[in-house]
Amino acid sequence: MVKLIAGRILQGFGVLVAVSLIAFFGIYAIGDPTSLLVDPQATQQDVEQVRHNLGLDQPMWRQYGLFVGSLASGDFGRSFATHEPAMRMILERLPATLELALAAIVIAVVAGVPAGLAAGTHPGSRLDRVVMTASILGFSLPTFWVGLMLILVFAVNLGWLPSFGRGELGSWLGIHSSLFTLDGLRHILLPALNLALFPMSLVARLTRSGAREALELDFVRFARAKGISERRVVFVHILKYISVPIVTMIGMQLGLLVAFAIVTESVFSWPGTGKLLIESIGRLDRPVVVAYLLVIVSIFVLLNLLTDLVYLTLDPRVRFDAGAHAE
Amino acid sequence: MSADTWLRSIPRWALAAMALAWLAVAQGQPLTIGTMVEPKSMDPQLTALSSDLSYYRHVFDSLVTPDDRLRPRPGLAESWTVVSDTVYEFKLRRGVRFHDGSTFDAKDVVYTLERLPKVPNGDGLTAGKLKPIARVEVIDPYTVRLHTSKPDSGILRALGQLFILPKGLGPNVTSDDFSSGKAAIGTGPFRFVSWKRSDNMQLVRNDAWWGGKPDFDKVTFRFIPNAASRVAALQAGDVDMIDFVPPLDVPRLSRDPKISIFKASAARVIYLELDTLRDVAPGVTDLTGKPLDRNPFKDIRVRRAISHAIDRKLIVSRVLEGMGEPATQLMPQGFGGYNDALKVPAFDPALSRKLLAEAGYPQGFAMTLACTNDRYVNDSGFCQAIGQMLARVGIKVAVDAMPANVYFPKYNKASFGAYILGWGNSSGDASSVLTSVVHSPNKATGRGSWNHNYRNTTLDALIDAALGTVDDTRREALYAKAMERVMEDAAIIPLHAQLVIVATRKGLNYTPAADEATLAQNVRARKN
Repeated sequence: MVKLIAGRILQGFGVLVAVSLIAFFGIYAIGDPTSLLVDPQATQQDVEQVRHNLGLDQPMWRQYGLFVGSLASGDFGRSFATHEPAMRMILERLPATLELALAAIVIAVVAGVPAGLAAGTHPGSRLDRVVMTASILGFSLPTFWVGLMLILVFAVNLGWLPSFGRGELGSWLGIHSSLFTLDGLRHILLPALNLALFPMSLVARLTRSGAREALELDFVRFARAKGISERRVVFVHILKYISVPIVTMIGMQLGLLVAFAIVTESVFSWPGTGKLLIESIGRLDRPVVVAYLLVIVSIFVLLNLLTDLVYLTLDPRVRFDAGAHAE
Repeated sequence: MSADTWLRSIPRWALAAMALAWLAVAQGQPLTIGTMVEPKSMDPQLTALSSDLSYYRHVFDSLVTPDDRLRPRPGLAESWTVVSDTVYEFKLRRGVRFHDGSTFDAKDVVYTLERLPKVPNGDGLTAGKLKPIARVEVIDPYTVRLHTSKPDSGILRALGQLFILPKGLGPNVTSDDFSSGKAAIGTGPFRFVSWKRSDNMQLVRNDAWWGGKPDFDKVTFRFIPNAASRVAALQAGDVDMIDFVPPLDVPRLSRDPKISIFKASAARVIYLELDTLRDVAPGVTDLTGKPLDRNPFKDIRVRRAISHAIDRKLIVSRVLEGMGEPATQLMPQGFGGYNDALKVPAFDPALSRKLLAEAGYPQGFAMTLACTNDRYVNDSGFCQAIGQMLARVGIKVAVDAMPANVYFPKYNKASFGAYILGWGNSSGDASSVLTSVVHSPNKATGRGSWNHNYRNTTLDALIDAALGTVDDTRREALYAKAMERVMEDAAIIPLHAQLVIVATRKGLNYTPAADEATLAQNVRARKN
């Protein structure tokens, strides 16, 4: 098992190097951001000076070398635009994004699993068709459009919920989050719902197909023949059987939600990392973009690892396999 | 109480009620502004980005303050006199206190000017504009003389960007201290309270402000970069006011009884520029895509043909939904040096075709028109409209619209033959556009930094003369003359001026500033 974890971390490190290279040279290829960063009335001399201060007058490979060099001492560079440390800017905003992704995944599971189970255990019923159709919409409607529609209906027309932003922060066990106040919950509901639509559809579909498959299996028939109540069959035996792929999916989706909350964050002006990324790309603020990608990739690597570990506890076969390899 | 005394008392009651209502307003209410831009820093000396200046104008004051048409008006300097061509004398306002309680005097002006070139990581742009100041002479605590190395007419307007800091901050204050609020101490109409990144900035009113009390005692800026979300936030009543309203939403919002719209012509003029220098202009070919033997834009007849082929009025009324003004020159009306004699170039396709034929292109030619698609109001829309208008006179146009972060690096490498840009005219007069866009590039003076493709030595001399003329009337006459020459040459073709559009909930009045700054002190509660 130690070997498995070490292997994953090593792989993750390789991915980090690759991503930093791609991001660095990708943004370099777009061009010199200096003109986006200075006032249009700047003279040629001033622009040269700014370019020099930012180190943009150096050749590309040297800029990357300097970046890696300072990375070794934990310095991710300063934003071209704000001159603040890039990593601080991201870490400042990360809690808001994590909180949004977490709320979304909870909504997705709480709504998606029961819907999928209900549909899967009643194949062909009207309920099944409703769940299937809704999940297709959840997959295919563009997030920004749904987000605007949610704002239009629930904030502008009905006036029930705030139209944008993060609410008041509360603290619990030393964690500051808007999930701990009523105002915060009111604010997070719409963006979290918007972000949850895609994973919710995914979870519902996965649960449905798993449940359908399980219904035909011997252990379910046996349980029924034994006279176990239908509720226990569905919620204990079937749910446990199909939980492995669902947990994998949730793990992957949580990473994706953190990384792709960008659109939802922009539409709802959620003060998270996605909003920062969009603004940074807009002004080719390379240190921030690169630092963001490194953080996101690290989160992905970490989540993959966690998913593997949860697997081990859920599915004994994996545990024994991994054990056999590790010995 | 008899009936008639009761009757007579009505006006007094009404008066009392009005007074109460007025008091409620004056006592202040919170104001929440949904704004497109978030500042990069609260250090007013770090960068000179015009988008950040509006935040500084809340917390800090400058000696000279631009009004809503960007004319220099007294700020912390009560008055000024031109002692000689190179000496300005400023009488400072007495009895002004910084937010930390310290008194403002000449030493603060000296401190501010001393720190300016030494800000760590600073882009040095404001310092560059104030470089002509050779020496600061303190006559007495409330009189300061600025000596310039040579006559420079731009000093007064440049001082509008010099925000006065208290000397108590000392030499080692950092930009981070300003952004955390520790050092964000000015004399301005509002005090800094807090700044939650990507989320909001809070200010409270400075009741002791010399310029009169703003109507709102608590102001919150909420950063909503997405235009559709900004509009929705106003409609949902979550904010009281929004800036940078998309023109296409204006007709719908005007019909909403809960919303008021405020418009004014912005300082920004959009123009089309042609490469008149190189023998081969990028993207310009004959109709079959083969290279031409010469660059058609070198011929003034071709340039004029292009100008006359563009129907500016139609662009403004259709593409911009009326939210703009056809431009007569590179500057909006009312700015210093505006030439009243210039008219919007006539829309005359027949004349265009004739000019093209005379120039040797009776069949026309093909060109690529580069433009942004996320920088100016509906830019990809009017770019395509211009492409079609030029097609009607025989010029086959391929429109190449791209995001600003791709466009500007390409522009800087001079990779375009014909392209569209906007100029902010933030100086409030003709000086900035003539210096940076029209003047030939000159490394030593820094002029012509936005001029890749046009040279006119007569104009250069005219502009240089104007910049060194301290007398307002004579200088503006020189600007007007220069602008006329620019229009004759038709190498830089003005299209239209944008509008500043702000929307508020009903019950508020707003005075838009031409430089697109969103200012809480310009918001007034309407007293019915």
